Amino acid sequence: MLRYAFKNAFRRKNIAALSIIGIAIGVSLMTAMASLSATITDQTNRFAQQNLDSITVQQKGQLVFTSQINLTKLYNITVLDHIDAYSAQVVTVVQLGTGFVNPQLVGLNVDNDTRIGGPTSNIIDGRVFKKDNECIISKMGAEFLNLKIGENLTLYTPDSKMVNLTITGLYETATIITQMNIYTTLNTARMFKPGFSNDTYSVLLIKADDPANVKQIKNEIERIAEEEELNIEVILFEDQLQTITQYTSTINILVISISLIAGIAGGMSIVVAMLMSVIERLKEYATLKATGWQNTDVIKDILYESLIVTAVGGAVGFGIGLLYLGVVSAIFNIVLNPLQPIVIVQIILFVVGMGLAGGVYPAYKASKVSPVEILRGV
Amino acid sequence: MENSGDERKIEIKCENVSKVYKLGNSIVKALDNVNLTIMSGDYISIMGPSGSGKTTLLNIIGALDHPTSGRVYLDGYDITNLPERKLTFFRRNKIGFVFQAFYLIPTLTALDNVLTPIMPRGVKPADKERALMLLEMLGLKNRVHHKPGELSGGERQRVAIARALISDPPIILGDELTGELDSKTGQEIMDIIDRLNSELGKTIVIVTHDIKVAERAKIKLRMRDGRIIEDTGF
Repeated sequence: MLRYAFKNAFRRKNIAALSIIGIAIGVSLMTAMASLSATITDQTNRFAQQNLDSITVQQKGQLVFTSQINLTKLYNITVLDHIDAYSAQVVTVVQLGTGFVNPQLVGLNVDNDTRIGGPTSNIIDGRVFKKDNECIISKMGAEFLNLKIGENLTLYTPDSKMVNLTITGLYETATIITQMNIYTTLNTARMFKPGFSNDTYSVLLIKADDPANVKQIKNEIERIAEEEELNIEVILFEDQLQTITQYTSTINILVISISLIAGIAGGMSIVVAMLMSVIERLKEYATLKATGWQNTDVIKDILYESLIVTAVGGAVGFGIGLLYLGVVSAIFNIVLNPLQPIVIVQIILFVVGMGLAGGVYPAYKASKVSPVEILRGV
Repeated sequence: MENSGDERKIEIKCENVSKVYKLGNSIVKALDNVNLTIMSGDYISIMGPSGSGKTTLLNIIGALDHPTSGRVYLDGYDITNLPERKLTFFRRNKIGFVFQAFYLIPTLTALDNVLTPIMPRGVKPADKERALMLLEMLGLKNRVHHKPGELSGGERQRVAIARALISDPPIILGDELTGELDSKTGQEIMDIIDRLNSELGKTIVIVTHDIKVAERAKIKLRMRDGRIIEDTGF
């Protein structure tokens, strides 16, 4: 019977091809989305693992790049117990090229940044900047912007002064989140922050000696801030993590929704294809019933046909999805997470479900054919 | 037909069978109190004008349709009000249908077409051997792997006959089975039907418009307005 179903599944090649394309699009999207979603989640988790000992101090109620803090006033904070290292940064947003890319320009002290394990401790090619007209960018950013070590980045200050920064090195961090930053000296960054004195920074990044101590440090900082009337707030990565997790959950929901819509669209294509096939072959099913096929035999046959077409579409879609991920990975030079076995099982179950769901109504319709109609005349 | 002293078993029996259709707003009485007894090995033709009820009668004795009233017995079983699932059992095991338009599956070879009735329960090597034997018996030894589109009308009808015989049913029902064939091919098909009756002992009931086809039967029935009006048997 499977052989019979296989022969009939591709009887109308155009219809079968169209439904295979429909399913393939759905499954390829699901495959790609599943991998992207897994990558985002994994990146977040890795970022979280690396930063659980991080504390950010910035101006109350401001964003990182609008915050202003005075480091001298924060001296009592920097000498608290359980603080392993700290690095003050000047952060601004700059415009590159046509303005579609707006990375953050971060000014920092290399020694301090290296101590807190910042990007200057993760140089994979070239060297860290030493002069004010030098910078480092991420490997991914360099490929995205098509720039190499030794080439210049041209930026414009708020008063339209052109600043050329020579790329001296490429860094690589574990997460995409920090891959689009440009790091340079504090002096250079201050050129983009009018009103920033040598003692003014955007944020103070603190590294605790143990993630278990971050809450105690936070409490101490808040106590000092209250006593000394400092207009600052303390952000633990732990607190940010909740927000990031919410974002990634939203992204995952979006990804699942897109996958489901694509899958349903693919499922609809199999319904239409099978329905057309059944309507064309009603006399055939009536004849089969007249020769001894039960309703359940007819239903089984159509579900088999539906599953065969869906399986082919699913396999093609899975292949296209993997190809797409390979292309994305190559173009953007990002390592995407391989599909987990559970995700592959979920895709297979979805394809099987789609095949069964797509075949149910056509199968029901065919099973209700009355053989008497055939004998009534030609 | 039943005869005194006949020791053959009753294959089909219709008792006061009527069939009423609702066609739009009007009621059509397709069969009107039909009584018919068909014995094992009978060879019966049913003639009659269009709308006389012959196909309806064939459907009912073939377990494809239910009568509105009366009773129908097949191989001694009362099949009058059996559900579809049980009627299928009788169609599969007791009856072989041969249709005017053959109704072969275009994607399957002659051999696979013959095997379609038993496909749902799995085709065993013995089934395949039987199908090959039937095709050979019907002169299609060299057409086994041809698809219907590659066969002539007569060959297609012979494949359809082989399909009707695959489950070795005791009864063969034919509805205008030479209707789409030329005269010579029609005669060849009827020669086969004759042999099924004379050599294999199959009970044959054929519905036809063709007098030459009808005359081959041992029992010739005529129908008009849902009634059997002439019985030329015995």
